[in-house]
Amino acid sequence: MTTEFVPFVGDTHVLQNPKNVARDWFMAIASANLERVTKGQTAQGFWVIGPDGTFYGYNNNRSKERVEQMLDRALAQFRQSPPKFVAPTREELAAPSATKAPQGSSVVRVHARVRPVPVGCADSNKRVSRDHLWISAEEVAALRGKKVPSSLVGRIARFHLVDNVRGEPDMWSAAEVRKLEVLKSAFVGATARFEVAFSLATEGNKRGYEGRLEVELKSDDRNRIVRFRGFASGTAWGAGTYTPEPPNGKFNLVIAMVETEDEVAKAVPPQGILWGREYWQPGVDPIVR
Amino acid sequence: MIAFLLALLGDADLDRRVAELLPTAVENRFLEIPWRLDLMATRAEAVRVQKPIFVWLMNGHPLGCT
Repeated sequence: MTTEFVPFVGDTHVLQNPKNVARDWFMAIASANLERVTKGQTAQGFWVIGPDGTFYGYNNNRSKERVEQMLDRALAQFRQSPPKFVAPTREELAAPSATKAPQGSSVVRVHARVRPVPVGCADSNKRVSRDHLWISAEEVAALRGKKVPSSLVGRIARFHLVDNVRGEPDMWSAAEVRKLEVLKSAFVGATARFEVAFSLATEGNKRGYEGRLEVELKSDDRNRIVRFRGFASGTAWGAGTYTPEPPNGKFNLVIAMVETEDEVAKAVPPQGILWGREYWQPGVDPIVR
Repeated sequence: MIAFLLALLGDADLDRRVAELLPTAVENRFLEIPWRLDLMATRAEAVRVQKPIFVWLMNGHPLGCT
């Protein structure tokens, strides 16, 4: 893959829905070659296309054999009928596509696991999830002023205390935040530490997560986070819309958070950013003791 | 509360619990592929090197929401 192709990875929420240059270019190819896309359904899967938009292959089956077969066929076709090698225009190259983190904000990597994985449940429960948490410079400034910002605690609760172990999660609505309480907080110099009790559940309790979150972070005088350790542990239950086959009944869901500054973290926004302003202003006020 | 304040000096137990949950080398193997993240820049590169583009798309970014 790395020698015969130029590998690109992306999100259908960026390349199918909002209006942007990359979306327009990709959707013209996807709509012409995958009928379900014209009906508003997902284009997720593996594609091989030329830089001029020539279609060479598609597959949404993740078995190694099926992917390799598709790649071999597509590569043979590419060699037999090469595309026009026309570069994108300067305007196309300059056009933004994904949402970028605001200037001065910090990024924290978030990983969830079911642990221990109950015996006999689906293998998808053995996975580790990935997401990014964005924290604004204003929120770090509040922490340096010895205050735990409600927006940060609310954002973590609604968009990052989620069971995304088996795939794309349902986020919590503000009404589904049943309890959110900052139990303890302490500040020494540039270091802050706080502990939060949370209870999150859908109407009728079909899906939920309740437990404790501990956070310890250190910031610099530019209001950037230089160290972040977050650990949530609690009891979860129920399946999301796109996360079927959770363990039966209640299970332990644990979530780790750690600071990051790599290129992926800067380029890939949090899944919760699809909620727009709600991500930054989640509309829940934690009780602070 | 005293233990909580002392932990400000560095909570090794919190470090350990966080570290235990981070992806393993095996779970991070797919990150060894030099994924491009900007589709228009990828088109330009494909023209330059005269190769096809392999596109991996998911509902939720594979490097950020899986």
